[in-house]
Amino acid sequence: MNSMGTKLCVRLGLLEGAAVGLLTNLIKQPPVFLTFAQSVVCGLVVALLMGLISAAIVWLVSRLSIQPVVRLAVFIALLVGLALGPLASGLAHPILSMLICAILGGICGWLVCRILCGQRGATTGLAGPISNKLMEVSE
Amino acid sequence: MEPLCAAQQPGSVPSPFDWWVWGALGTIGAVGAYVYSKGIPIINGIIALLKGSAVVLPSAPLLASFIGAAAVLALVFYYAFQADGCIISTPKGEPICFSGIVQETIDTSSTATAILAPFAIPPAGLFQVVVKSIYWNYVTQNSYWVYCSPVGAAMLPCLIKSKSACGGKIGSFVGAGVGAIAGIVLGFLAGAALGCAASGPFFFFCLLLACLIAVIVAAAITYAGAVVGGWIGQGIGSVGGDPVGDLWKGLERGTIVTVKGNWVTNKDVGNNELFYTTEIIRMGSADPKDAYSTADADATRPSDCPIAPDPIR
Repeated sequence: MNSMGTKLCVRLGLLEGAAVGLLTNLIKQPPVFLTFAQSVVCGLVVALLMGLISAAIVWLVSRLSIQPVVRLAVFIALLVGLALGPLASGLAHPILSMLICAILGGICGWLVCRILCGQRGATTGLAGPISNKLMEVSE
Repeated sequence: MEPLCAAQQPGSVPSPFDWWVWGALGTIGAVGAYVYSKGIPIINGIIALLKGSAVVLPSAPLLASFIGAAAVLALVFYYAFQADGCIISTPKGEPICFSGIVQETIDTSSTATAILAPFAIPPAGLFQVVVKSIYWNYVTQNSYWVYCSPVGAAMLPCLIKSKSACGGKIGSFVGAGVGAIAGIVLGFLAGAALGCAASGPFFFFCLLLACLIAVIVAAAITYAGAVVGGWIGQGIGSVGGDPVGDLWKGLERGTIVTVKGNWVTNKDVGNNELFYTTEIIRMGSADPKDAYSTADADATRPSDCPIAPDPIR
């Protein structure tokens, strides 16, 4: 995962967080009130789905290996789903929920990147397809 | 002094704040808040026409389908508005001329990207030139990273513009706009068609499914619009000749070349490169080897380039 950077992690977290914030909040509109367990389930389902779709698009456009990208997306999704599902169901408006959860999701992504990729991964930017190819060849 | 290979300076490449993604999020949020409470004027009418009744606002499926379409639109816009010489011009660098020996050529084209994500087509490819020692400053000046041949000779990557990429990006940009309108309408109708009964133990799952369907259908149709638009754009963009691309395809390891192009620093890795190469002049071939050194490059005959002046940047 060393060739990936915080930019990728933050973007994955942000997308997953935004999706969790929006959808979890949308479905709790009256007369539905989600229990804690339901909001966690909802957060996990949405975050994992969004994570897999995002990973597929990242793989397609950046030429990074699919496996580490999926692994990263799943780690972030688990954290985002568990932490932000219950939060999203408690916020007042779906858009407010989307924005707040996106910011928190970005922070979760950054944290996961720091833990999984260490200092180098945390400081390297997400390189474009050409840079990835050059790095791959030079390694 | 011979250039160091790989990292040149302590620390990483300075990376500006990732404003784009946060800006897109804020914009989508602001428009989304309006869509949630008021709908979208034209789309409200289309939905009323197809459904036989107006959208009940505030509407969860409408907001979900809008966000799905907007996310894909933002993705396509991100690539369409990269500074790659299509809609936004390439970063302004110095026009330079240098010579050396081709160490390797790399084809970066991808059939998968061209078919499935035509808005993100990368440059057609690049070639790495072991430069003569008089051109070392082109490789090292202000750079964070220097690529070297296996024997440690400094190389400058020279990128080749993809002829069909611009057409693909512009086509995707238009196609995504059209697809988004269809996507929001159909996403809303698909989500609403589930008709979740407002009670029972499965109401929560039914609502979740309805919103997911609305998001996914809208995003998929917008994406399909971008892809089809991109294919059409690629077809139009690939008409006509491509002298630099044709010459690049004929390069192989050991070709002695004089190259001209726009000299910039890559913002991702911090290496210097030609973005893009504007002229390639073949000057013969060196003795076949696995890896060329600066001495090999210096031993080739002089090029027509002016003796490398210090770049002004």
